[in-house]
This record gives sequence, structure tokens and C-alpha cells, in this order.
Amino acid sequence: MTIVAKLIEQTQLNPEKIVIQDKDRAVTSAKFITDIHNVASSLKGKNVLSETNVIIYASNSYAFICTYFAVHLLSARSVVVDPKSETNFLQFIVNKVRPSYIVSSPEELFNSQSNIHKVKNKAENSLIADILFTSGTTGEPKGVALSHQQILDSTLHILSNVGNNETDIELLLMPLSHSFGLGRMRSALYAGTVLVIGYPLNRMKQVFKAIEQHKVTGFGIVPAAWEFILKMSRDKIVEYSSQIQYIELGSAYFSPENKQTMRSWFPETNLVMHYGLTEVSRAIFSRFHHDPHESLGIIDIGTDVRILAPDSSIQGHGIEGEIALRSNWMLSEYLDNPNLTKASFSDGFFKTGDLGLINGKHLYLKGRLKEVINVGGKKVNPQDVESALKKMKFISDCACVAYPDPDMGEVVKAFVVFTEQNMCSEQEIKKYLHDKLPSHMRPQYYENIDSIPKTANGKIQRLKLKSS
Amino acid sequence: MNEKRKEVYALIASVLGVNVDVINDELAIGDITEWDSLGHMQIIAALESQMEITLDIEQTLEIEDVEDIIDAVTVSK
Repeated sequence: MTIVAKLIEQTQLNPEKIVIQDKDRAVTSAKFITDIHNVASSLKGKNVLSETNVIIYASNSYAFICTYFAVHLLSARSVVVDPKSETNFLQFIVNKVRPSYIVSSPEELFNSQSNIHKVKNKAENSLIADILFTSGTTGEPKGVALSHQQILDSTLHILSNVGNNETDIELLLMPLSHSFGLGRMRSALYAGTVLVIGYPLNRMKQVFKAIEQHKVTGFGIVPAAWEFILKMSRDKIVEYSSQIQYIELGSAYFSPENKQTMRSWFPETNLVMHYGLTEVSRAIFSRFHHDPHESLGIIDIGTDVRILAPDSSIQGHGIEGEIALRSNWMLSEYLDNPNLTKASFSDGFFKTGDLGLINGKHLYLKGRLKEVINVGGKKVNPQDVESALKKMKFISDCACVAYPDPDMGEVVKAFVVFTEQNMCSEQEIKKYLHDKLPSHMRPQYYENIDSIPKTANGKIQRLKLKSS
Repeated sequence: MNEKRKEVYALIASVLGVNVDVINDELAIGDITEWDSLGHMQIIAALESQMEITLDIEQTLEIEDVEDIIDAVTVSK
């Protein structure tokens, strides 16, 4: 069974069920499958063959969703890209995957003919379904190839944690150009949850209208989106608390304070946050109403977790090391990159590059291995310094990176963004941190900038800061 | 162009880091890459701090393009 096979099966069972609500247009299961066949037929006409790569410019549109599954139906591979990506990033992907076709505007693939030839479903579980490129925070893009089986396993894992089902109505707020949005789209459609599209997050008035009009019961958001909702509408979202059955968060740090706020606003809602990366999507889930707010979640559900020492030996409980993960749905290898694949695995476990430890049944994140700053042999997690800095009322955001130093090797450099209303001097910050952090953790250099560069998922792009 | 409109154009251009020539009444959130959700939050914050206006939730939610911002500033004053 693949996801697209499941969608076809749903049509046979209940063709009139609404599966997608595109603003005011309701799409039945039967119409959805017909349109997927329609697009697949067009792609076939453009010589898209089995096991070839099709680049699709993502948008949160009905046409894109049909195209994504049409490529799967042909047993070709969907290479979903964000059209807003930098040109050299897109060019890198084109060179790497040598696509059989590039879909820059999915709408054009809809045939106007009424008698569409059905395309046989050729998707097989072992074949590659998707190739995603991580823009990430470091180095050149990496191609993550996932099979139909891996995507199915991942979907089932998401469903077992989020719990959405055929009675739910989900508002799609995250972009389908990223694995978070794609995962939400797939798990909603797989479970028979009605997927509501056409309401971008940045039009908050429309978003609230959609929640009311379509009786939305769940959604997924990244922490930056939560901040946006708060800034734009303060606590208005609480008005809908009783109808929201689930919220999935993910992809970036979410403070314990924010988790507590969410808990108090949504006392009856299943609030979950995933930890993972494109390579091992949604490995671990934390449940805000049950797990410690500082934890990434419980370790014994679905994913095997190890904490590794620098020599790749396994660390005991309570000892910090690199988090390594193993699950059914993690990548098998990086696309055409055996060296990187070899370096990324240890005894079948994928090495995340994150620092963490296990305490009891919970996993805790302690920092990013590659981001650790080595101050004269003492290791500094930039996040620890950033947490201290963010407690100053003058500072709205900050990021710390390593700065070369002739004596210490590296020292800490802080980039700070001041609040609109207030600024303060470097001396004032130094005075404030004096009794908050040991001397090696205190930044030696400061730079005031307008905003911290971040990926679409809210992760700090430290390389950009280092090269600035 | 009246002074208030000029002032709003300049503020939006400055917050988004774009040339003021890019700004017109119809320009809306999402039309240019700089005006994303983060840029939108910064515009709202700048309206409150630099133009000293206070927006309630309904007013904030109404703001989707430059004309909405000019309306909000005019009503608030």
C-alpha cells in the first residue's frame, strides 16, 4: 500500500466524501482521483517515465497536490522545490536530478478534455517517491531520497501521535515546499481528514474566517508561525480552543513558556511537537500536556535513539553526546553521495549532529554539535548564551557564533537585535551577563543587526552570520 | 501625494529594506519576498513605535496592504 493507492481505495469506498476544501470549492474523493489521473495523463504525454525525476514548484494549491500524487501514480519521483529558493540552489537541484520534466505551473497540466484516460497506478513501496533537498544551515544542498514505504511509515507514525481522523478538518498553514507541510498534507489525506487550503497564514483575518466557516479542528505550525499569530491577533485564537482537537508544532525551538501558554489556552487539545530532520522526519514527539516542557519527547515510541560519544561508542543515560536515530522511515542514503552517507551513519543509526542526553524516558536537546564554540578547550553551546541574552528586556532576538581568537582559538561573538523601543550599550550587556554566565561563555564581541538570518523553518543560519 | 502617505511609504520601505519606489497603495503582504510574515510583524511594530499609534486586534487583522495601513494611521490619529 502506498499513499496514492490509499487515496484510490478511499474513492472506491466513498467517492462522494469531501477530501479537500479549496476556499469555497469542495472537492470530492472521486473528483480528486480523476484530477490526479488527468495530470498524470498530461505528464505521460510529456514523456515522464517511471523512475525519472520530476521537479515541481511547490505552492499550497489544489493543482500542486494533484501533480505531486500524479507523479507518484506514474512511479516517477517528486522533487518538490520552493520557487522562492535562490537561483543557484534551484540550478544545483536541476543539475543533480536531471529531471525528465519541470512543472513550474501545475495548473497548466490540467487537461480540458472530458474523457481522461486512466493511468495505471505503478507506484511500488520499494521505489523512490520523493527527493527532498535540505537547504539546511550548513554546506551544499543534500538530496534526501525517500521510498513510498518510508513515506507511508512516516505518515502512520505522524497519525499515531497527532491522532487526526476522518472526522477532522485540517487547515493547511505551512508551505508544501517543506517536509513539515508535505507531511501534514499526506497524513490528513491518508486519514480521511478534510484538508482546507487557500488560506495563507499571512492573511490572518482570512485564517480566522476559515477556522469558523469550515469548522476547522486542527492544524500544524512552526514556532515562528505561532509568534506571528500572537503578534497579529494576541489571544484571539483562544476563541476557537474548544473546537481545535489537535495542533502539531515542529521544526524549531519552542520555549517552555510558549508551551505553557499553549497548554493553558488549549486545555483539551492534543498539542504535540515533533523533533527530527528531513532525513528522519518526525522521529520523536513531545506531548505538551504530558511530557516535561524542556524535553523533545518520549524515546520508546517508533524511533530507536542512541547517544554517541565522539568515538561513536554508546553513552549511558544522563551523559551528553550526539543524538543518533533509527526508524523505518528514515532515509536509506543521500542521493549520489556515498561518502556523505557513510559519514552520516553509525551502526545503522543516523547521526543528527545535535547534542543531547536521555534522562528517564525522555530525550533532551543540548545544542548543535557543529555549532559548539570551542573557547580554549571549553565547549560552549551557543543556545545557552542566547537564552541568557534573551532574558534582557532590551533584546528581542540574538544568535551566537564562534569568532577566531589568537589566544583562545575561538571566542563567542553575539549578534543582537534590540527591541523597537529600547537599546542598550555593550557595557550594559556585559554587566548583566557578569553573574549569569562563566567568563568563557560571555561574548567577547557584539554586533547589532536588524534581524537574525533564519531558514523558512526558523532555524538560525549561523554560517551566514560567520561570513558577515 | 499627501504627507501622511509619504510617511507611511517611507516607513514600510525602511522596515522592509526596499526602495520606496517599490511601494504603492495596492502592494500587499506576500507581493514581494521582503513582505513576508516576519516583515509584516515588523511593520505593525514600527507603526506602533514610530508613528505612535495603537492598533486593536480587529484593526491589526484588517491590515493586508499599504492602503489598509494608511487607513489605520488616519483613523488612529
